[in-house]
Amino acid sequence: MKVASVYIVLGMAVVVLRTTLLGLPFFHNAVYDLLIPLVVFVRLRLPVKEGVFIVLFMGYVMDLVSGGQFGLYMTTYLWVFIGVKLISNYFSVQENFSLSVLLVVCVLFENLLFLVFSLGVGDGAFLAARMVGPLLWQVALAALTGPFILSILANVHYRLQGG
Amino acid sequence: MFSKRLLTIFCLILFALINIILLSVSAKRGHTNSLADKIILAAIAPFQGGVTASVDFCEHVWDHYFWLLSTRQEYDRLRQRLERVEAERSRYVETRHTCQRLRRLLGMKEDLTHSSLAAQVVGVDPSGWFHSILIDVGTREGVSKGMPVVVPRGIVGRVVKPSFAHSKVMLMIDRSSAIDALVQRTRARGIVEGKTAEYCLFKYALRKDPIQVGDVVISSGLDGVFPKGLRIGSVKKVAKSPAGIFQSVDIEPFVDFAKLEEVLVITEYDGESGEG
Repeated sequence: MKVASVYIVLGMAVVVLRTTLLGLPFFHNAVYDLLIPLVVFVRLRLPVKEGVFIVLFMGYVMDLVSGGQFGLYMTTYLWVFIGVKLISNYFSVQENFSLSVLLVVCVLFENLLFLVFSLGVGDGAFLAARMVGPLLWQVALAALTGPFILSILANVHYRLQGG
Repeated sequence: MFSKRLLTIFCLILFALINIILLSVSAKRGHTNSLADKIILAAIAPFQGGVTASVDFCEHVWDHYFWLLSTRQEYDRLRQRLERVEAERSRYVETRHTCQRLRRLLGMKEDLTHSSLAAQVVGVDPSGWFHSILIDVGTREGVSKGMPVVVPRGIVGRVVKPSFAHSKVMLMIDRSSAIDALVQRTRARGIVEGKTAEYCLFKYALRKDPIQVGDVVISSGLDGVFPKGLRIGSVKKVAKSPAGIFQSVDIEPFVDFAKLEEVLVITEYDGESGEG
């Protein structure tokens, strides 16, 4: 439970950061959802039960502060959680390159899900086109910084385990 | 009978279907407000407030101390502008007095009697796909779901989820937002729907209605949420297709949603609660 609460506090800090500093117009939605590396890490390193609890709780918090329909973030994180397991069954996700690819896939998946659930059928292409710029930035940032964030989380995890 | 792999795939498909059904139900139910929601919002919001205040402080320092070089020019320009505004204001005051006299004569009720509550923006939406903000007033101050939120320049949105000390506000540029509106000059009616952060759509305006670029669009008051006469935006583009009974009108909101810091929640208007 101690481990879970540490990750929840970390996640809450990310939520605060995301809804204040990273929400400034300066960033133009170019920063990806920083909870995705946390979800990926939790899936790769923590027991499933603990992981599901953390992921659902963080999704719940994000749904609370988001203007989208309730449950969208919970859905996203849960499917990222499931997807990471499925992918890791077939591909090795240990090196930086494969972790970058994995995070990019997760970021794209999240945005795709938001596109599907936030739009009327007719306007999909229009809004998707508007989001192309920020999305490219998000993908690039996820690829570059994702493995770094995961290594920080690994470090935190190592210390939590008393290493 | 079934292999483990087939069973996994079946379970995943079943889970996805249940997930989609739950999301659809959630979309229809709108924003709920349970005790857990309130507790979590109350836990996060003070930190959001702290970070936002720190950012505002840094911006303030930057604006007031580091950009002094251009201040003199800005001062001269503003002074000229102030003189023009002063002249305009004296004309406006005179017109207002005349109007008040005429109102009294006609026995009309003063319609600008909004009772409002000032609030600070403490957080913004975490995703680029939706548009909402978190403000630092809630049910403790008398805020309830549906209350209109404005700034002096115009409509900001409405409260969708009030908690004890904070409330979530859906901005008028969100795609789920709709406001019954009028073109001030021609009284052409329509619905203002959110589209992007830069512009909204003025839907269902009849083709025959004369609407021009630059026309001001205001709330009609007929939706029971926003009081009549609140400024929404100005017409940016008008397009009439050869067929169809409606014209396509784009509106540029008066409010700069990227720079929202303080807002007003209208708690009562025309003697009625702002609750929608």
